Amino acid sequence: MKFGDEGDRKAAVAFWAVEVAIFAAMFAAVAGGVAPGLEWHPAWYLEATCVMCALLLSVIPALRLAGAVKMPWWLNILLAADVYVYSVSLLLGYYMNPDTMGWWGFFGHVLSSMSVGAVVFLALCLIEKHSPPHVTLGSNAAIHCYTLMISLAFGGVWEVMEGYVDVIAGDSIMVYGNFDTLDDLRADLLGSAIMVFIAGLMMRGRTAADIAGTTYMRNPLKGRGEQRGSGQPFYIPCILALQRNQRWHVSKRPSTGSWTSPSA
Amino acid sequence: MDKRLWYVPALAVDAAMLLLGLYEDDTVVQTYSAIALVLTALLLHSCREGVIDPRVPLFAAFMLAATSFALLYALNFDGAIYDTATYDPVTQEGEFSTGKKVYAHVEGIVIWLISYPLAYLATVCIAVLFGSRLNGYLAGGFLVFNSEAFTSLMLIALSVTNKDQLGETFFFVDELAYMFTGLVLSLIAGVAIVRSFRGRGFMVSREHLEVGD
Repeated sequence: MKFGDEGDRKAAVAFWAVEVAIFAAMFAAVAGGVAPGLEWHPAWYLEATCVMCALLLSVIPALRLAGAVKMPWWLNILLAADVYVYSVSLLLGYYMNPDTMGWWGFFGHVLSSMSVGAVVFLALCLIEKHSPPHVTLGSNAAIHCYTLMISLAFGGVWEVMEGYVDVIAGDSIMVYGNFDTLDDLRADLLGSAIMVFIAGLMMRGRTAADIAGTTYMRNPLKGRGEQRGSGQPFYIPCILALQRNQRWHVSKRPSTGSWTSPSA
Repeated sequence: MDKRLWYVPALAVDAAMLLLGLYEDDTVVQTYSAIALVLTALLLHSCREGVIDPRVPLFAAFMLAATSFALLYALNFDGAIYDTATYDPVTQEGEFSTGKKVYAHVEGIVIWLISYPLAYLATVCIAVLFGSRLNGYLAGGFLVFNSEAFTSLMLIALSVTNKDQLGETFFFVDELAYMFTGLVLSLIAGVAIVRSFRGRGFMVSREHLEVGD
């Protein structure tokens, strides 16, 4: 199934329709007053969550149908699962229910870290594929190390954001209790490690360029028609422009012999 | 003189700081010392194919020693500074004092002074071991991420070893201050590195880091 062909478009439409239908059902459950999470969260907050998550998840199939971004299906499903677990947890009150809040919050964070790790892994593969020849991330092991470190760092950045939202709001909105941040960081480490393990399995017998080849990004306004499915990704000129700003060092090897003309 | 010998004082300092951290029961110093020790040992191991610039682990070890002493013996104001907080741990209401917040951010700066050289050491280690050739943009970016990741690792170590011994002020002031200060300073340093080395052929790779025997 190639990017932009009829089968791919039908799959994207079906994916989109199922996503919206599930969120519509969740919204109806809140509006009908049957969602257990209403015991802990106000109805407007849960309804807004359903709408925002539906809009957020619609971006992926919309970009795919517009011919702008194609991501591999495993990443689409992982991102969707992450958003569903978050919204379903709110609707069922799992984050606030004393019976489930401990392990469920940890599980949700592990899944989120896996999603971040997956995006980081794919981004590193794209960087590796489109870097100039004298720049490389190195072997697959280097990509796994960078994936682990970067997704762990993003977990830290997320916790900073959560903490300062509470500081600005003057209330406990995103940090649930004393140990929340430290427990989240532990979940981030576990999720990142799991993603690195999965990435290791994916890269057995494959290179970063192979993985990057499953993703396409391009400006849908340019090259419509005959260029569809084969145009240059729009981010490549950006990478090349950045690279041109730096004068590259090229190590000069000593000459190993006198040069003679082929005609001599 | 064999330049590999310069790795010995770096390893000795890292090991001494690890022992000091164990003696003082300080998880921050223990974690960073252990990371430095492992990275320096890996770099020394990779010197078999050509000596890697020993100034990298030496500088990390020097910063580790200086800042560990500062954390253990100069910034240990856990008495008066905590009394100034108007936070009520029972009702979980109130405000942490400005003095406590300023103190936490000073600690955050000192912790960043350990984690940033360690982040460079880690970047060099990955580049040498796994064949990376990083330009200024990639190296500057990885320094930011590695530094923040090491701060996260230190906090995870704290949560595993002595979470129950920490007070509310740690959870709502210190840990956020550590991560926020480290992130901001790393971003500033990353931009500075990219700008100052632009056009100078800055690369992090084995070819550029190898020094003659």
